[in-house]
Amino acid sequence: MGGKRSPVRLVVALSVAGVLAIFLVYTALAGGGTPSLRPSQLAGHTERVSLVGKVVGPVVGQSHSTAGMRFRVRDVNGTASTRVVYHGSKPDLFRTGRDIVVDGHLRNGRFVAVPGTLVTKCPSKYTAKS
Amino acid sequence: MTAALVIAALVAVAAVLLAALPFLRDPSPAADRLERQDELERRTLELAEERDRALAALKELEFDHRTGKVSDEDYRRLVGPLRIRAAQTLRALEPEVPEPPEPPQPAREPTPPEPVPEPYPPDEITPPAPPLVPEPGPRN
Amino acid sequence: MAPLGRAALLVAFGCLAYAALAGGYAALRRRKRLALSARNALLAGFGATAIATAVLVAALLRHDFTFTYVAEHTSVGLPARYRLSALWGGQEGSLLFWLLVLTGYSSIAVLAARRAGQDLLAWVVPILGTIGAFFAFLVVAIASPFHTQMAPPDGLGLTPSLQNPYMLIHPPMLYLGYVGLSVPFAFAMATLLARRGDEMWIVVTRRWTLLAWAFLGVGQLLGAHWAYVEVGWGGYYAWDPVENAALMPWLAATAFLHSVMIQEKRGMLKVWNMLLVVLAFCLAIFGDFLTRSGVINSIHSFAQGKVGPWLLGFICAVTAGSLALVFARLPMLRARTRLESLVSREATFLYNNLLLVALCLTILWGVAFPLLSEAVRGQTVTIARPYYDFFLRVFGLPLLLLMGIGPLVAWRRASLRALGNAFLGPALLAVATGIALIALGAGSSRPGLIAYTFSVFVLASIALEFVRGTRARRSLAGGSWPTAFGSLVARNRRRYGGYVVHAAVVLLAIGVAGSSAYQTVREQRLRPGQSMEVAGYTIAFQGTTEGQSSNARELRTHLLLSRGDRSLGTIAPGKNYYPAERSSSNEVAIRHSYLTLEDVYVIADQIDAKGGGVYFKVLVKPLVNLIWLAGGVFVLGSLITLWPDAREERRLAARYRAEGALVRV
Repeated sequence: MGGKRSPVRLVVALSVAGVLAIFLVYTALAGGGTPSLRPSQLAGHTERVSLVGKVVGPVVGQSHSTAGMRFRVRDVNGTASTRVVYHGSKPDLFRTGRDIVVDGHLRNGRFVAVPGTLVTKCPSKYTAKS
Repeated sequence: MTAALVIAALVAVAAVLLAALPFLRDPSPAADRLERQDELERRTLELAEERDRALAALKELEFDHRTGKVSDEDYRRLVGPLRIRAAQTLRALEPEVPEPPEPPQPAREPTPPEPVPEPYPPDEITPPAPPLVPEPGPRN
Repeated sequence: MAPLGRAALLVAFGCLAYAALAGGYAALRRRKRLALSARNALLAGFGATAIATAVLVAALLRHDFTFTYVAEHTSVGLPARYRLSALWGGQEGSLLFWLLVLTGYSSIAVLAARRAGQDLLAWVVPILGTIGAFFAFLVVAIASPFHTQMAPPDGLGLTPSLQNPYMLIHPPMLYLGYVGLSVPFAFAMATLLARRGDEMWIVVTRRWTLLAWAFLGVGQLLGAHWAYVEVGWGGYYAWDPVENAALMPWLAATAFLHSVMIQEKRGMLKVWNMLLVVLAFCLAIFGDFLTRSGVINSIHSFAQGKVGPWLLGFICAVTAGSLALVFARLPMLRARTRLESLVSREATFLYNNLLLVALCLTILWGVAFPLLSEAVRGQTVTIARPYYDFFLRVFGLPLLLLMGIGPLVAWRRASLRALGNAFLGPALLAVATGIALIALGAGSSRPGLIAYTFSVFVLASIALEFVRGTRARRSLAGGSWPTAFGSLVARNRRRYGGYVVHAAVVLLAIGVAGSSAYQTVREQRLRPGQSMEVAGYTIAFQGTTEGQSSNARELRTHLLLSRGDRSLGTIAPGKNYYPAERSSSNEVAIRHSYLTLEDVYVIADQIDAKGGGVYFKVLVKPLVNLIWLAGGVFVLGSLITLWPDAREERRLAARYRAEGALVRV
């Protein structure tokens, strides 16, 4: 920034280094986010993942009952599907045919969702989160 | 349907007319050049901005001193260079006046600097008369 | 009438393209009449766009279902105001709305700055024209709102969750903000292209930047309130990519607002300011891209974008072009002075800028990382709340503290001793408050406690500024305290308006800290007659009723709220069922306490209308209403800083008279 060695450059450089350092430490400790998978990609993943897909078929059961709400989720552009069981608050927009994102684990061929993580997408409109 | 076409045509014509207006108004102008700053204007503007900056800095220093943010000694330390700077910028903006030839003078003792006058009220906008300060030292 | 709309848009595109091309040529070759002609074309572009918009609005209000857009976004039963809001409710219409605001702003900008240096304006016109031409191209060729069809008997209607007053104001506010950032960008680039080394572009666009920034801020708060009250999951901000899309340019604009003050006062940070204004503008377009392209897993997304790739290409071109221009003009951007001390107000502005930009970039990374991960590794990831919360604390808390330190530091160089004296009062107050808060149990959340203590420090230093200033004014000009206060603010609008805005941000911080770090959540299933306890409140479930509105079946549960033995009335959360759209909506019940500013927020789920049990989720959110209050204070502060100042205008006029051109802002 002109003149003799201005401290501004030094300050900026140090800050950039500092921010990067904090960032790297954080990512190293907390990981790089939850993998976001389609039903066709689920096989073999045992850790917590985000399942993305379209709700197909009938929705059975109540989300607040012990047995939970059960439905199938299919690849948005594909045929592979998986069974999902969900407990917790059911978003307003949730319905067969809607695109959803839900976190959980694959257990014994069924995707067991983490309660309260179900998010429904409403296509081609502005919507707010439910 | 035809109404739509008519309106559409009108819109298009209006747009073209609007764009052509400068040419229609002044078909053969004396000068068709965009004004651009020449060197003098550029320099003047630069100096004007510097002058405003220096005066604003003085005014803020006054204000900060008056509200107690800047202590008396800090104020005394800071106000001198700011005043010099302001005087320099004001002087630089004055129209050139040819200096009268200096009569030869014996070397004399450097005069002590005039006492710094009272600060002008901080709310004045018009620049004060250049304060009496010794010849400016090396440029900041 | 659709052909009229299409034709008008074509004319608009033609005008804007002409403004861009002819304007650029005129600026390059310094042809005065051609430059004027290009400017007129820009104005004509606005006129044509306005006509196209009028056509669409008329069709929306008239239920003209031959317009595909009208059929997709309205229905016969939809009230008129929501038919109007459908203008910005869909992809094509909102693009047209964006174009309308853009051409409108462009026209006002070139007319209002008419005498601000012909060479500067000559470049502003083609830049605004290029941006306008791009968006006009999108509405003409890629996403036209004027497709027609055989009119169906009824339209698809508007999602019930969108039929509320927020839909009428939140999107327009955001657009007024996003698009407004084009003006400072255009003037900045024009300054570089015209090879001007002065600060005129900053002076001319100061109010534009403030206005856009204020609209963006208010728009976001409205969105947060909408989410809180209408959508009803219990929160107001979810770090959803589309929410971040508005936050990022706002942060960049905040940084820019501060650093241009440094350039005005000290002639420093010229390159930084150029880069910031480019960043703010590009983030605004990027935000638009995020919302429209459907590229990100967000519930806000529009249909999978035809528009997306074009927007992305535009952003890349603008970024590359602007950076190249800044780099080419680097020698011209040498500062006249340097930072004298790391302990000075300039330095605190610099630190504030660095923190704001750091926060902005971390959010940007959080948004872009899933995209990059997919492109590079073929696997998408999602970045969730903890990431954003962490960085909000790491960068946000120091920012909060800086807001209190900045005003206390003098320009150029502050002696540490003077600083210590200035800090003492507010710091002691803050520490005392901290201790008191720990005693009251606020130690349960360390970030919350820190936020509270810092907030007290900032509020104290702001209050001190007002007190000292009023006292100085009074000793100078006499008069009563209120008059002195009034004239103090009137004579220093930018400074004291800025302090009011800072106070708003602090209130926001307190509200956010209280309602997130100190909230209580409880879920329980209740049958009629049962009750639950949450944070000192007792909630007794009395029963369920069913009602009918014009388009919905309304189920409401009735709860008696009490605190100790004092009854606080009844609240009725529930759900609405919309048979036409085959969907339901959450109708949450919120009870505000005007004394403690906390909310009791109740969501009712799985309502068994036949007298069975209902699942209730109760959230007690302390101090949450401070957030909305902060919005009001924010508007007040912005108005104060925006208010025209006759003395400042005279001073600027005197300055630019030196160049033979007057500035009217």
